This record gives sequence, structure tokens and C-alpha cells, in this order.
Amino acid sequence: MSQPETDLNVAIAKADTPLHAYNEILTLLGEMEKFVSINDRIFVKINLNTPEGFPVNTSFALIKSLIKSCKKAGASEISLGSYSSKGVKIRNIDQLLKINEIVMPLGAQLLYLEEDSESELLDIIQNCDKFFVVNQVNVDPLFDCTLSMMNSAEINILNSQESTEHDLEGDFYKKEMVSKLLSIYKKRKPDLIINDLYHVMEGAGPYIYKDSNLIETQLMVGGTDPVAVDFVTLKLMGKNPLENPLIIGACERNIGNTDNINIIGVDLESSKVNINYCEKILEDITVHNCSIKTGSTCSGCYHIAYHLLNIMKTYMTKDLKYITRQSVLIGENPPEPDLNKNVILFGNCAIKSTENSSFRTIYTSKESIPLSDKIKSIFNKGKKPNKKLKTIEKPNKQVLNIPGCPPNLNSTIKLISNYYGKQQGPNLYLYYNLMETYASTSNKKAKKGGV
Amino acid sequence: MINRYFKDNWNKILKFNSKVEINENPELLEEFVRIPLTPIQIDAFLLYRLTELIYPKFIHDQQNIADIILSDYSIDNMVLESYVYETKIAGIHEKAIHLPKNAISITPKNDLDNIEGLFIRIQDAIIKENGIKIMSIRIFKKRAIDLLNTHCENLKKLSFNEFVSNLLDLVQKCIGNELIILYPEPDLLRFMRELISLSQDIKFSSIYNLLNNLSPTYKHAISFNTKTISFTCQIEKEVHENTVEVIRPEQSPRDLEKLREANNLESVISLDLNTVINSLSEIFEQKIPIKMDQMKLLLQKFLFGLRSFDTHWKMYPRPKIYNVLIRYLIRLIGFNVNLRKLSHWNLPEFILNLFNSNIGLNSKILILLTNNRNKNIQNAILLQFLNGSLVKISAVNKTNVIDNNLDIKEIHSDLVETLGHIDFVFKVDVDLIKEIIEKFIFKIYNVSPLKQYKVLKMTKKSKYLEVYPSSPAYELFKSKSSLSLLKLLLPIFIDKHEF
Ligand code: SF4
Repeated sequence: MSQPETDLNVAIAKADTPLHAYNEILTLLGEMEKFVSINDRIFVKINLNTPEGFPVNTSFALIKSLIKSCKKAGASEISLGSYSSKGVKIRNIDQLLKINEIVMPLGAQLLYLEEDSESELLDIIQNCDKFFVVNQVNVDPLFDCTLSMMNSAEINILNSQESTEHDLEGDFYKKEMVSKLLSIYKKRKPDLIINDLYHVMEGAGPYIYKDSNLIETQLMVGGTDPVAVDFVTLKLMGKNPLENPLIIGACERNIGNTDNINIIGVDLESSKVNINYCEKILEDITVHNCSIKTGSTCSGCYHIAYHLLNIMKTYMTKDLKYITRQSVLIGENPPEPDLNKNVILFGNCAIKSTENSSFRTIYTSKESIPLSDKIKSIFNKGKKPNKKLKTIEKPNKQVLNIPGCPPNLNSTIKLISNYYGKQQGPNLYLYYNLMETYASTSNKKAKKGGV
Repeated sequence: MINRYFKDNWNKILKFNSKVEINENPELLEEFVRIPLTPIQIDAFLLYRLTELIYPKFIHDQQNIADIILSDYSIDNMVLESYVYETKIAGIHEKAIHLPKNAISITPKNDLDNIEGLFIRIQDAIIKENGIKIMSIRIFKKRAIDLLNTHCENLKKLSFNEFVSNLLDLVQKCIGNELIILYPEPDLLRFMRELISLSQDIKFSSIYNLLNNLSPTYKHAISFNTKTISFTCQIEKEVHENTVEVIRPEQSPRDLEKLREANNLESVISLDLNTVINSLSEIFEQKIPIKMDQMKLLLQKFLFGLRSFDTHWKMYPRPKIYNVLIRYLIRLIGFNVNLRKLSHWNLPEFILNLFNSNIGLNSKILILLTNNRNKNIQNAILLQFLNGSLVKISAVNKTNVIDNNLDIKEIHSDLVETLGHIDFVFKVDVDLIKEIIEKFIFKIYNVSPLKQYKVLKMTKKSKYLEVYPSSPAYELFKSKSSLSLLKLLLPIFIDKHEF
């Protein structure tokens, strides 16, 4: 059956293995030869978030199949690229996961795109012949799921070094994020987008946490219009795409179109899947021995605190048993903590708005005898000295300020680990050491690649 | 139809069982039988007591059983033989009633697909004919009987290791090919069937032989105790052969020191039999693949058992690691190695979460067992994980690269063609495994912090352990010195105070 040839063709494939689903996508869209010409130089944007296992990053099996089909179609150069989201250099991730050693024999190369060169990605995608996006779909606290339009980010999502104060009222954090994520698409749209939702991480994501659960949907979505592909993906995942800030932002910027989408392959309605999305209310993330109090919060603090609380839940079981009680206060004017002990003030709003709160000061009372009474009692044995109650006011030292708007995740882990120390927080201390390991993996053997 | 050697022993067991109730002091009946399907001699009354304890837990807890032998061919009535056992106590077989040829009929179609309906029909037929209400059936295909017979015929000729290998193969064949059907199906049988399908082409006997080759020579005893039973299993491995001996209850003193001296043993472990049975039945209740949460729970229980030295288990000689003075001295230099405070509640969750984030929720891991001395790879096993649960274990056929090459990177890239993408290759040398098995299992009584430290140092050498590609946890493990690694890990492994 011939399919209408429009730019808004979106293919949905369902198969018994991810590779069969990928092949089906290509068949539905017209084989790789339709996208790749002889001697094309191709840049493939993948997810390479952290040196963790699947499904945090794009499946390597899928990447390898894509490289093979590009080569078969005549591509001369294939480069892969990504930005990590936890402040880890791509070359460090490569040194651990040996991606180049895996893809180089197939004729591809992983580029070390780093955040210090803003125009680097732009240069690459403007100079390559074809620009592909292969995106792993998982649940995401901010945008419901990790859409292909998030994949092209030139930003370090969780560890922004920028100190710009965000306006709580206008939720500028999310707006700024949307604008940064879409900036690339204003310059050049990808020629092929694949959203891999064959396996989707639900519950807690997009990194592997205690509440993460992997479900097999057997689905993959592909097309040439990023907005249309993400639109269909959201629909498949049971979300209303028209409420998604990225889709709204993309439509506002005329990056894509949500009308006239022509779905080919399996039926969308009957293929919809039920997904458990990330907790939208931070208080609902149950962390042992930890009370979470939020005031007015913008998506900046919500986003980073979401990850922090999940890290605590996943790795700090023992620490929180030792600590016995901890309160995390987030946003402007949060409620008072249950106890004045181990109060973590997360973000500038929480720090500033609680400056005069009662938990900041510790009042202790002490019985004391004035000196004159003491002397009198020495001479007059029968007379007991008058004891007076004296109130002492001290700043509460068991308060930890985590500055930032929003705070940087890595620095937050470091501050909390230092605050509790290795005796009280052995698990977090190990986690912090692990983070340091992949942030500081030796650069000796690193090579800089390029298209 | 049934092998004579097996039948004679079985009849002896039935005869003894029927005497127990009418005898005032059955424990004084000094009779010996073999544990069915094994060459191991055991006091008949001890076997009676053990069956009384184990059968209801693992097989079926109600009385009266029917055994049916079915033809392998689709004939009109597949029943070749059938017997009924009237059991006053679940599992204690006393007398077999041989049913007439056509008392029960089973047709090839429908009947075996609807086992519940078949059971009800057989139950009704036996009540009508014999007035006995059976509560379970055991169906043996003729092929299973043939295999059992061959196994029993060889029992006298086989060495102990050969017997264990044969028995494991027999169990794998009978359960894996559904040659034995029990209704109601016990958890043990379902668990074994799922385990067999998880481990695919790996023979249980080869796992046994591998573990046997990796273990040192030893002579230990395990003393099992309950309020009513006490017996000892003496296990010995000499250079080429193993032996197992079950020592009669009255010959097995509860004093471990005396037991050790009397039998010239390296060490004696005392376990509460009820705890062992309950733990095993909890394992058998699990569905395979075992879900992550269940796995955490099982590991928590295992570690809790391990830390409960002197309460749930005892050992003589007492492991050095429990010596207060040694522990105190080590504490002085900054290490807390009190195994009684092993963090059983925290460790499984922490380790599995770390494993998941480093390895991934879906992954394929190739494990290569190398032999550095012979410069070859002994075994290659592929593990597949799905959503953090182990779903498949398979043996990998050795290729030229695996045979002649110890370079983990080359092996990784070579196997991609045949096995698809492999996430990690772990290369572990048999010497390291031998060291761990010897130090931490067979000679645990002798394990000192210094020996633990030596094993840790070994694991840091790529000659003994290598991972490709790497992961943050492995990088951290390699980058730290053994001492600072201990400092980092011990506070996680050992609790500061009891909770
Ligand atoms: S501190 Fe947090 S809540 Fe306040 S404006 Fe900044 S990101 Fe938003």
C-alpha cells in the first residue's frame, strides 16, 4: 500500500525486538537510502547523559544498527554526539563506557562536545549533510518524558553554572529551558528522528533510581519532523501533547506542526501505553526519616530537588537511619520544619524567605545564680541563693544552606555529604566518591574528534 | 518396571515406616536404608523423621497419594501402572496398593491439558474402588522411570561425584521435559522448572563439577538440630573424590568440639534445621525471574542469618573474625569488622541499586572464567538482565578468539557478531574464585582481616579480575588503595550500632 509523501509522516512500529522495530521504522519511512546519499557526512545526536547503564543513554545496540544502515546507504562519515546532564565530560563517559572503541570499527566516531563551546554543536549540525536524532524515551519530571527535542540540548541540565536569578512568579526556569532546548531547531531541523520507547523507564527517571521500573512497550516512533514525532510519542504515552511546554514552545516558534500528521504503521489508539509518571509533588516522594516541606516553588527547584530526593531515597537508607531526622525546605516561605535539627534549605528562595524563621535560632535556658546572691549565701548560711532562669540565644548550626537558583546538583551532594560526614552518611559519601570518579576520569588518552 | 535395587530399598523403607507406629521406641530399631536414588546410607528412623519434617513443607502437606506411570506413546489408555499410598502422616509411605489395570484411564488428548479435572476424576475413581481419598497425584512418564532405573542401576558403580552429576542430570531431564507431573504442583517443582528454563542449556551437573573443581580439599561436618532431631552430615573432599556420611543421631554429640575431635574434622557448623527448611521454602516460593524487591528481601534474610552467629548458627573452631580481642585491636587502627553488626537491612538495597545504575536495568553480561596458569578461558557464561532481574543464563560456545586470546577487548568485539551487543565482559580468574571459596567458605573459621585484605588486593589486579567496558563503581574500586577502599566500604557493610 503506498503512503502519502508528506513531511509529517510519523511511523509507529511495534515488534518483538528493538532491532525489528527499528527496521520496521525504516521500512515505513522508506529505507535509509531515502535519508542518506552517497558520501554524506552524518551527525547523529544520541543521549549520553551519565556513565550509567541502559536506559539512561540511547541503546548501543540501536546506535550500532543505525551506523550500519547509514554505512550501507553510502555515508562517508558518521559522527555521534551528546551533552551529558550531570556535569560529566563526554570524554570521561567515553573513557568508562568505551563507546569509541565500540563504534569506530563500524566506521563512526563519538565527538567530545563540551559545554565551553556554545557554537560547537551548531557548527557541526550546520556543516554536516544529514542530522539525525536517536532518542531514548523515559519519564522526566519537567517535560513528562524525555522527548527528542530535549535530546538536542546544548545545556548541562542538572548542573548549570549560571547564577541568573530566576523569577519565581513567571517560572522563567522552564521558559528558559524550553528556549535553550529549541534554539538548535530554529537553525536546523533534523532529517530523521527516532524516539525509542521500546523500553521505557517509568516511576522515577530519567536516571535509575529506587522507584525506577522498566516496561516493555515494544514501540518505536520515527519521522522527519521533531514536533510531529514528539507529539505522537506523547499521545502513545497517554499524555495530551498540547499541554506539553516543549510542544507549545515549538509551535510558537514555528519549529514544527501538529496538524496534518499522517501516522503510518501500527494504530495509535490501540497502541497507547499506561505509564507511571514522575511525582509532581515533591512531598509525595517518600524518603525515610526525611520530611519535605515546600513553599512557592518554580520548576527550577522542583527539578533539581526531584533528583536530589530520589538520590536520597536510593542511596541514603543507612545514612538517614543514623541521622534519624532531616527536613528539606524548598521554595519561598516553606512551612516550619518538624524539628530544628538537620534542616536543609534548598535554593535561594528557601534561604532568603526563612532568614527570620524561628528554627534559625536556638533558645536554651540555663539556671544561674547572680554573683551577689552567691556571696550573700556564703555569709548567710541559712539563706538559699535565688536561682534565675537565663535564656541564651544561638544561631542554629544544624541548618544547611544550599544556595543557587536553582542549586547545582553535584554541589548539593557535596555540601550534604560534607555536612553529615562519612561517619553519619557513609552511603552518600560513597555515592559522592563515585560521582567524583566519573567527573575526574583521567583525560590522558582522550582524543578530540570531529566531522 | 522398577529397578530392583531401588525397589528393595523402597520396600524396606515402607516396612520400617509401618513399624514405627506400633513400636514403643522406634529410635532403637537400628535399621539402615538408603536415601532413595542415592547411595547414602541413613538410619531408617532418622529418614522417617526427616520425611515427616520435609515432605509437608516442600511437596504436599496432606495424606494419601496416587502414583501413576504413563506410557510415552499416545495410546487409548496411557496408564501402565498405578499405586495408591494411604499415608497417615503426609509423606510417610507405608503400604503401596497396586491398582488393577483399568482402574484409572488417561487419554492422550485433553486429560493432561486439564490436570485439575484429571485429578478430580482419579480421586473419585479411587474413593469408589478403594475407599481412600487421595489428596495428590504423582504422574511419571515411562521415560522418567527408564531414566530412574538407569540411574539406580549405575549407583553401585559410580563414584560419589559421578552419582551427584547423574542425579542432577536426571532431575533436570525429568523436570525440564515434564516427565514428572505433580498435582497440586508444589512450589519446589515449579521453582525447579523455572530455574531450568532460566539456565537454558547449562547442565546442573556441569555447575556442580565446576564448583567442585574450584573448592579445596576439606573435611567438615554440618550438624542439624531441631527439638526432636539431631544428626550430622560429614562431608569430605579428597583430591579426586568426595564423600558424604550421615551420622546417626545418638552418635552425633551436640558439643561441636567433641564432634570435631571424634571425627578428626577441620570444622563443624551447627544449624537449626527448621530455620534451614523455612529459608529454603521461602526461596522456592519465589517466581523466577526473581523480582528486584524479592531479591532484596531474600538477601536481607540471608545476611541476617549470617550475622546471627551463636544464635542461628554456631561453628567450632569459632571464626577468628569473632574474636573480641582481634576485633578490638583492628578497631584501634580505625576498622570496624564486627560481623555481628553486618548491615543486613541496608546492604542488599544499596548494592542492587548501585548495580542497576552502573550496569543498567537491561543488560547482557559475559562472564569469562580464565585460567591464567594455562593461559586459557575455561568457561564463558552469558547473563541477561531485564528490569534488573536475571532472566537468562546461557553457556557461550567457545570461539577461536575465546580459546586463544585473553584480551577482553578483542573478545568483546568478536562476540558481538554472534551474541549481539554485550554491555559488559567480566573476566575472573579461577585462582581468585578458589581463593574466595577457600577463605570465605571452607576456611571461614580461620579467616582473619589480613586474609580478607589479601583477597581484596588480588581482586584489584587485572590478572585476576577485569571488566570491559568500565563503570564508575569499578573505576572507583580500582583507583583506591585496598586500605582506603576498606575504610570507604566498612562503614557501609557494618553498622555503627544495633537498631
Ligand atoms: S530559588 Fe528555586 S524556587 Fe526560587 S526562583 Fe530560583 S529556582 Fe525558583
